[in-house]
Amino acid sequence: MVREFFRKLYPDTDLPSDLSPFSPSGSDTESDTATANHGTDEPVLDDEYIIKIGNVSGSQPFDIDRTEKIVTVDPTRGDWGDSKEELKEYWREEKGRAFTESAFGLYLSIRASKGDVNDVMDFFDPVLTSAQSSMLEEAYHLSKYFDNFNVDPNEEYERRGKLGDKYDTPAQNVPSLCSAGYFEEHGLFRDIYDQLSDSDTQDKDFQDLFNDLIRNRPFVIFVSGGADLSVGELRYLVLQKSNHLDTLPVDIEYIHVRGMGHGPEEKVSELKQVLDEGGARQMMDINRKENGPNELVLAIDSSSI
Amino acid sequence: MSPEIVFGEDRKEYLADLFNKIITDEGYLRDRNSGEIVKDDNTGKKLTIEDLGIVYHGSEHYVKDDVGDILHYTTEVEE
Repeated sequence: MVREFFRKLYPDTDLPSDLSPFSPSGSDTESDTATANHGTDEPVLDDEYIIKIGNVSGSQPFDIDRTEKIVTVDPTRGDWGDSKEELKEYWREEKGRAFTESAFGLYLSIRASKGDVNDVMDFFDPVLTSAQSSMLEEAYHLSKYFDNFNVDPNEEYERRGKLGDKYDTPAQNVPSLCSAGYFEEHGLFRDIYDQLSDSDTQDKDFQDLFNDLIRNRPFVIFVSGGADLSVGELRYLVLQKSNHLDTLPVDIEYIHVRGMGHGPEEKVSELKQVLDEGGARQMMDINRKENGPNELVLAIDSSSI
Repeated sequence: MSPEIVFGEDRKEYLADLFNKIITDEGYLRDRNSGEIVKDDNTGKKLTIEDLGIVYHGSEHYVKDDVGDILHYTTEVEE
């Protein structure tokens, strides 16, 4: 089909002699087997490939990347009017859908992470309001996308912003809380829910607390790179967070200070030194992420500050 | 299964053109024949070219490039 697709798109262009990625094997023997199996001369498609409408820099109107499994077709080469008809036919007869590139990445991520996210939502969906639950589910999917798909920082910034626009500004920080594991089994938010178990209004109390914890994040500081807080300012922020924790109806014993990458990690280490001198009880550990860089985590006993 | 069709970020206008949509001065997608502005399948909100994520059929359905809308597509439409 892809060979046919290309033939229709570019009838005057010589196709590469080897289109083996679109058949089970490049060898004639196995191609014959494939033909026999399917009763047709058309090559069997490799469904891992995608047809990308994009930029091609060489002399051909298309490019085949066998490593990434992408066939790129450049609509500015050749006759777009004809190409459009063929693509539309392919969309109508074969595929039934077409993506923009960023939507496709997010779509793949959502499909891949659905089981994990559903496991988390099985706990939180019944105890949160509908809006809180939707926000958490979307934030969780975004955190998986950011962690696993090497997302451009600008895109991450935009998607966080859109989440904040939709659900109120503090929502844009929730993907970071998800990524840090605060909603997982044995994570902070489940512990807090359990602490409210004696209350007659456990769910309502948790929903109120959820909003406060999302908005103010009194249990964590994310140290980012670039122009960020000084160590002195960080120390002051730790004190502020500690004071906030004292006002809560539940016990949160530790304040986490988290840094990823050289600069932020250095700052976390410096903060530890300063707090050590003040006699704070604290522990430093490395959160090893499945994908992406490790994270340095300083856990400060909030009662010792 | 056959290969997915994916339009690069700098080729989105060709995806719009594929479905006979023009881009208004405000960036919205407008049908060339009916003059109607395209709306997101899930929320019913008007779609800009920047927002465009997925086009799928029956007829033509449009999905915004947003985590909530794509999640809705995978949950309510695809399955």
